Amino acid sequence: MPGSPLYAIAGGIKLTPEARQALIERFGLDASIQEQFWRYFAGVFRGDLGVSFYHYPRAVTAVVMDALPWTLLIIGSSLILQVIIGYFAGVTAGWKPGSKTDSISQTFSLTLLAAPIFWLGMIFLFVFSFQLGWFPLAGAQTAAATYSSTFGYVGDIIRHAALPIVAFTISRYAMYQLVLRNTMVTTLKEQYILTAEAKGLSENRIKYRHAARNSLLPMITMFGVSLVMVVGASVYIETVFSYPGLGLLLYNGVLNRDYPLVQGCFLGFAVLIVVANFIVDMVYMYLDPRIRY
Amino acid sequence: MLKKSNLIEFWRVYKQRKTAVFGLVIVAVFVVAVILAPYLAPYDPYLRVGARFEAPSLEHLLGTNDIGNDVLSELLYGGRISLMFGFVAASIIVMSGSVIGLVSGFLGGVVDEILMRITDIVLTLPRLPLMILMAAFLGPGIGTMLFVYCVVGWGTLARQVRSQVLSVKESTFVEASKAMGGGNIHIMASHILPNIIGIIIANAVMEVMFAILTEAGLSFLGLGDPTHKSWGVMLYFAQRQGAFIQQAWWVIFPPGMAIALIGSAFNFIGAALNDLFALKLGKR
Repeated sequence: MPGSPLYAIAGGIKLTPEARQALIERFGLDASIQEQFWRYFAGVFRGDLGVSFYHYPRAVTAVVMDALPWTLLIIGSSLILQVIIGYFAGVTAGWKPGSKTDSISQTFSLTLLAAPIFWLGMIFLFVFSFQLGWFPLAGAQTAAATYSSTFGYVGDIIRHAALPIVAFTISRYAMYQLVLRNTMVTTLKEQYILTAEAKGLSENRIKYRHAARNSLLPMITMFGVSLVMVVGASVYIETVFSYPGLGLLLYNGVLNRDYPLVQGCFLGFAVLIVVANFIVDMVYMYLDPRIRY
Repeated sequence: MLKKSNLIEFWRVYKQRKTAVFGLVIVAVFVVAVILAPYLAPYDPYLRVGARFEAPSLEHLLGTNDIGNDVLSELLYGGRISLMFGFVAASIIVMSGSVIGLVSGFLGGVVDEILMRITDIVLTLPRLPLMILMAAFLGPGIGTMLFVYCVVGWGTLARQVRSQVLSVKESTFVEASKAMGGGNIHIMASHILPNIIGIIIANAVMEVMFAILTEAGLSFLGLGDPTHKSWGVMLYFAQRQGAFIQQAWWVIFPPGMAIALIGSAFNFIGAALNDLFALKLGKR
């Protein structure tokens, strides 16, 4: 069987029947599927996700917890940046539909959305790390480095995270821009915009307080829906930059047939996405006071 | 329905959008180039025709890769696989998605409930990890990728088609057809479909882009078929075989550029069609 975890544990070496039996018993692989599932399910509530095949003898929980903060750092900060950039770009484009700014930024967005995210990452890595040497080549922090201060440590982490964050941000902010732009165009036709103009309010006040504020909901909805895509993005970005987050862990887990680890990664992502969705719901309530849960 | 006068009118509006026309030109150029690949490509992309990582020169316009293959030839032949995957996957997805959306929206009731719950499941699954898992277990290859992509890819379109059907089916002409004893299949095929075909076409164009991007992504992760070098497989080898250390930008830039170019071309066309058809639906 090509997907056998035993093969992966042994690193491709042929096992003696005794060693094989010992491994099967050690990992509980002789139990029935239902039995294994039940053990896993009960373990989840104790925070016990089993032992990783590949990182043996480390527990899956420990391996996942090591990777989770890194993913949270690059994906989380990038998502926030995407929304902020998408917001300003969308408001600017939607304010004067059909204008030169609008059509140029639309063309730009549609092109960016068609560029593979990992390729953007490769370009950044090639230009800024390999050619210019401004950023490190891989990893999340310099191995075995000593820092003179906390400041130096933080700086090192930021230098490692910068390119992954920028690559992910550039490849996805356009989604929010396009949605917000289209809603803005509809909102601007509303009567209250005319009223605001008649009252003699300043352009910026109408633009941001009246039009943009009332156009935000579809963009936030889109944010919630597209959170699932975070898993894919994190796999691509972390593979390109060899960044030790959940995505890379998941990818390697699949390649190594490390089932407990793969399950652990999915659980990690699921927790991140559920928490993020909860925050989105809170933001919703703040933006539209009519909504109550 | 599509009459000649309609097409002329359509083209008159369409050609006003510069990006849409540009997109059409790019797609045409790419399609012709990959069809004529055997005549255009200077070398066999699978043969060793130069040294390792040779820089671009007159002999090799885009240089050579890690095993001395000509990059330009790879690019032309790779386009065949990437574009073919895009078109085939998009056709399958568009057909299945439209049929599911059409039947679900038109019949309503229990059928609608069941089909939409399945759609919900397909939509909420994180696609990429699922595809990685399935590709890893079914074994890498272009057939696996196509199968896996189509299994999870039809949800969005089914949803969109269904919502269009729901609004069209309330029209008086559907009622009239029913009163005259028109059967379900007849009404769906000759009254509802012609009215939503525009949205389907606009979506089909976008689907080609998504399929090309997904194929590139899966191949980049090493789940593609190394014996059929698509643009994604080229990038996979660029990443793994030291193109960065060798500063071989000619291996890294062109495949992604090709994907971005053809992808944005489809995006431009799709966006234009979407606007045009949405306008038409709104007018009625």
